[in-house]
Amino acid sequence: MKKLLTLVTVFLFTVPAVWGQENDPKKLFAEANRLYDAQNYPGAIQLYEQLAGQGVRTPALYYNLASAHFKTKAIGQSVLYLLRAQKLSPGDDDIEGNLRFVSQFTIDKGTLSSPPLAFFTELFPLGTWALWGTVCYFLFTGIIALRIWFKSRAFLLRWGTWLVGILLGVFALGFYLSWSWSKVPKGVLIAREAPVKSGPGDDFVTQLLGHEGLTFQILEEREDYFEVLLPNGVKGWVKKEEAAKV
Amino acid sequence: MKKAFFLAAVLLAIPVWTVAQGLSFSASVDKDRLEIGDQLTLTLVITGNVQKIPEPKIRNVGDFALYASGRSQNITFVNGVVTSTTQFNFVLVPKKVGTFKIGPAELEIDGKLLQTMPQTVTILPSGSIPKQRAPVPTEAQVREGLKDIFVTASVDKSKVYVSEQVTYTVKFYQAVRLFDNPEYYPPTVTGFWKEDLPPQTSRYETVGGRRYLVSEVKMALFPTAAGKQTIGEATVKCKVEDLDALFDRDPFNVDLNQFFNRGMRERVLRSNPINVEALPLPEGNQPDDFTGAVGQFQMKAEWNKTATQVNEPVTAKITIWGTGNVKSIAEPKVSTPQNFRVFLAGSSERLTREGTRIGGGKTFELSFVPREPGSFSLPPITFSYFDPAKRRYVSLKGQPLHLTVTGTRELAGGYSGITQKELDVKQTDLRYLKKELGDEHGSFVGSPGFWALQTLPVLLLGATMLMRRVRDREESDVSYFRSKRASKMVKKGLKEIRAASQLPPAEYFGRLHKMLLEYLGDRFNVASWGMTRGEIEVLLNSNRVAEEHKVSLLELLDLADRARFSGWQPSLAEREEALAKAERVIRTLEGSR
Repeated sequence: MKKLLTLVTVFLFTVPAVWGQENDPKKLFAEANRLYDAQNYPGAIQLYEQLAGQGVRTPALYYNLASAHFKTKAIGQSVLYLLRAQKLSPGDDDIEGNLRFVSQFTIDKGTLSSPPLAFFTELFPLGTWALWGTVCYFLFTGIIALRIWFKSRAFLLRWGTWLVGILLGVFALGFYLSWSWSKVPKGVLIAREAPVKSGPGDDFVTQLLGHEGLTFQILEEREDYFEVLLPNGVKGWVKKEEAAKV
Repeated sequence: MKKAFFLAAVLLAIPVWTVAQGLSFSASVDKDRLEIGDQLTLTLVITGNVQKIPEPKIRNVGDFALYASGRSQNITFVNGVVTSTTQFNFVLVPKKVGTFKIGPAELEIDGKLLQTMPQTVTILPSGSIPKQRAPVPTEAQVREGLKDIFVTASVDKSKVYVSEQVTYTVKFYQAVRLFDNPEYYPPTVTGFWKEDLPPQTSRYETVGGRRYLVSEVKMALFPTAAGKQTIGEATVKCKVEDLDALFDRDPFNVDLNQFFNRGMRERVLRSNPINVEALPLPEGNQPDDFTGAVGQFQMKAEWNKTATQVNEPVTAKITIWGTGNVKSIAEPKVSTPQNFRVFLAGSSERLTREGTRIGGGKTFELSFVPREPGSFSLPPITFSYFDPAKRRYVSLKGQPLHLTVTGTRELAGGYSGITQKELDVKQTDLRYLKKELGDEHGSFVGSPGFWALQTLPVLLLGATMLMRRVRDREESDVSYFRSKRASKMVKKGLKEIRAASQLPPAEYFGRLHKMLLEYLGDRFNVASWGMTRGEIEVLLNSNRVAEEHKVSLLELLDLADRARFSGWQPSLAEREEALAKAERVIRTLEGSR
């Protein structure tokens, strides 16, 4: 009886502790990072994905997972997780840098957004548009408030209103376009090579072959296919099993 | 059985419509039962006031090969309303036996999704559907048909190679007046790929000494397999004049249908079926790069650059055009050079009709991606087709490409194919890992806090405007300003008088008297200096001050005058009482605002 009680006590105290340690997100993350540093990239991916499976969604997790995938030469997965990290933390310099770096290894080049939109979305990340837009917005309303209170038509305030107003317009437009663009559903080709069909089925003509890391805009989603708009303006259908939604 | 066929025919003839805000979108198939080797036509019709109609999408084509077979548009103006009818035709060739659903077809116009009902089609094994023969016409019908109206069908060649064009012509001869436009039903063309040709204009021809108006319909057919292929009967239905019937009928016949159709007879005319012998393409000297193209073609192959970098594709744009079966042109075969990856980067097709010849072109973009640096010679692009006129294969050849590839094989990240120059100069490998897992919440941008922050300047602006407005009113409305100031000033005055309790009575009550007058002046916006008791009474009456308050105030003023001018020496308690009374009166007047 005494032995049984001892066993139960040991079980009750040790198992939850071990279980808790194994499932503690911070410890799992640190362990995955350790495996990465030891160049055990598949092991690191397994732990990072275990964390993602537990429902952890942080920019750091996706960022590190993207790096581990890159080291295993899975460019498509790497681009996918970097885009997911970017979605959670727009404007993060490390994410932007790695995305630029990894994108150089994709075969299919090109920007996803159309020219007028591309100018704004590529000039600054969303966070920068938001920050400077907000600063201009506060300045602009501050100047207007001063002018109202003092009923001033002073040269400096008058020109200040125009200058800050124009800046506010530019940043507000940039923010609006970047914000709208961030809400557009996008996807990434994760298969090494995948046909882009003219319709949602194997019988349709192959318009072109896409390669891993090819990003696209998702126009429509069917049971087995995404209807996509590629950076070169081609519309087509990609099998869901060969791509992933950002 | 007959009834069942009739019902099926009626159901087939009734298209399934989807109507949305003046637009209709319908789908129909020309048959619901067919056998392997046969083909069916799916017709999608969009009617409504729409200027630009996108290509409809067919969601489910099951085990069919789908080919677009043309588009036509008809625009009508009725009472100032423009109505456009656009028809898309698709040819479906079954691959398997069974019952399949085709569709629904979808069309998105101005953000609205139109959808048709799916079409159910049964595919039977080859040879299981008995060919329906036309009823043998009576001698009288033949005599009359030859005499007044008849239909003939012909082909330009009865012996062709597989994929070579046969032009099929149906001619409808008429020498009598028709009561209605004749209805044309094209023949079944099992074993052919078909393309409609532009409609011919009607003309007059003399046959057997009689002048006929002849209408022609042409169709380009391409046999898909070798052997004897049969083009079925083309059918024309029309209503012709029948004078005998007009006079022979019973004038008291009560059948309204017969009555209104007096003098006309419906005629069904069928053409003769035609056999075409499809010869197999010669196999002995077939080039290795032959992919099935038959016709007369030309080719142009252009390279987009002669120098590139490792992993950077160089693209060959191959354009093949001419007359013949354009659908049979497949992507040119290229042998993948060592150290290169080759992939199809794009393709497009264009179909043209020049007279009765089908032609057009196809463009392919092939990308060659070098894996290593160096000088390479890419072999010329070749393309072979079978020319049925010359009865031999013809090979076309582009120019070879001498390509210089720069760059390095290896990189810090262990990847081949990217040069250091290409990389971001600030970054030659991945950045360091993130050591902290971080918060699960996303970016501040777009969060509730972010949007709350955006409301602050609006609130600030609103508050400024409000305060400015209040100030403007104070500055422009003296009455409002004095009235508002009265309360503030009287409170200050009372406080000062209370602090000056040691002053001589004349001065103490003098201050109280002045403060009360100033209060009344500010409160009612009048000049207070030198106001007499009577004037004060009138002022209080005109401002409807309650009697008891008026009396209290006047008593206070009388008391102050008494102390100022009669040498009355009030005690400290009397001073306090007077001040308290003043406070009560003022509080009451303030409360009555």
